Amino acid sequence: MTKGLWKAAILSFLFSARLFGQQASTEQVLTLQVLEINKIGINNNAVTLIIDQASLENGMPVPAVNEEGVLVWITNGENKKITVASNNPSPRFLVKLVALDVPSSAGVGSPEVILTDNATKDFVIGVSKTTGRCKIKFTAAAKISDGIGSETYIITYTITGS
Amino acid sequence: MNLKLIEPIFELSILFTRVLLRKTRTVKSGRSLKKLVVFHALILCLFCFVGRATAQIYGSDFHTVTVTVATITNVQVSSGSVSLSITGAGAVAGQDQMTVVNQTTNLLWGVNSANRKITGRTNLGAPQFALKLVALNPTQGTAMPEVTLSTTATDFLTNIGRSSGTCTLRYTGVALASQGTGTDSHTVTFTVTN
Repeated sequence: MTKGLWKAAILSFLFSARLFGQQASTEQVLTLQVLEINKIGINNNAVTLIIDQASLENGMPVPAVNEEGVLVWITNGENKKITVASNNPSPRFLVKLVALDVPSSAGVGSPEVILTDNATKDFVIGVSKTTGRCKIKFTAAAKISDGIGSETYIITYTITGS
Repeated sequence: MNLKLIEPIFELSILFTRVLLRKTRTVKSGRSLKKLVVFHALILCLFCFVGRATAQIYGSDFHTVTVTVATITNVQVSSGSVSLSITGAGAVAGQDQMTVVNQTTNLLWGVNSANRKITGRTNLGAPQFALKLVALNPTQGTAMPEVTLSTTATDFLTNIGRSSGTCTLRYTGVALASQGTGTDSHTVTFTVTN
């Protein structure tokens, strides 16, 4: 009786061992890390505004407007904003810019910015874990007393913390 | 040496010797003696041959040999750990999706059963970011389309029965800007099954 039980046990073990041999697995530990990413870009590297007309009503130069520029950004961080700054501390002519058509999920456009100096000014605020795009509307104006001439500005857009 | 085989030969030798001795009485003894010597030399050689032949067999027995090939299934990865990091190098302003690719590790297998496939799954039930997997350049079998890993085992490589082979593992990590920052730790399991 004891011998029979031992034989049965051995046979059971061998049978189950063969079943285990039907499947094999292996494992691999994988770590996926996502760091904070902030990127910004514009579609055109040069914008030209030409004031060459005068108002028929008051004879003042008619401001020039350009809306060809597009600003794009991405951030997976929180509480960001986009600022703008000119490199010209004392501009001769008046240059203003504002962000148009900012999606509500991408941020909030700030009021029109006047580039009177080279200080950094808010352009789009409330930017958090989002990607977005907007139009850049430039307005250049001059007074009669400003005379004629040409000025070049370097406008820098920066995505930064609030 | 089997004495039963040697006995008749020995009797034949004695008979021939008697005949030859009778003849030596009527012919020259030298020729007859020579024949007798040659004959006994031949008999002696025959004894040796028979003796040597019969010495090979002492006895015999047999047993049965059974060869059994069990089911063999083996799968392993070339490295136990993989790291992916989305740092912004591949990010594009204005595009929501950011990705990173790793294809530095391989999967190896050996299977002697028919109709087998390899499945893949992760242990992470709610990952923050998507992790995709596809087999590149398998030496055997058919690679399935790229899958997004989940806790449910998904076909990764099919038709690998009775083969040994290798393939490159290509992982793609995908993050959206809206998902923020963070780290997912997966244990990816590859299983050979039918």
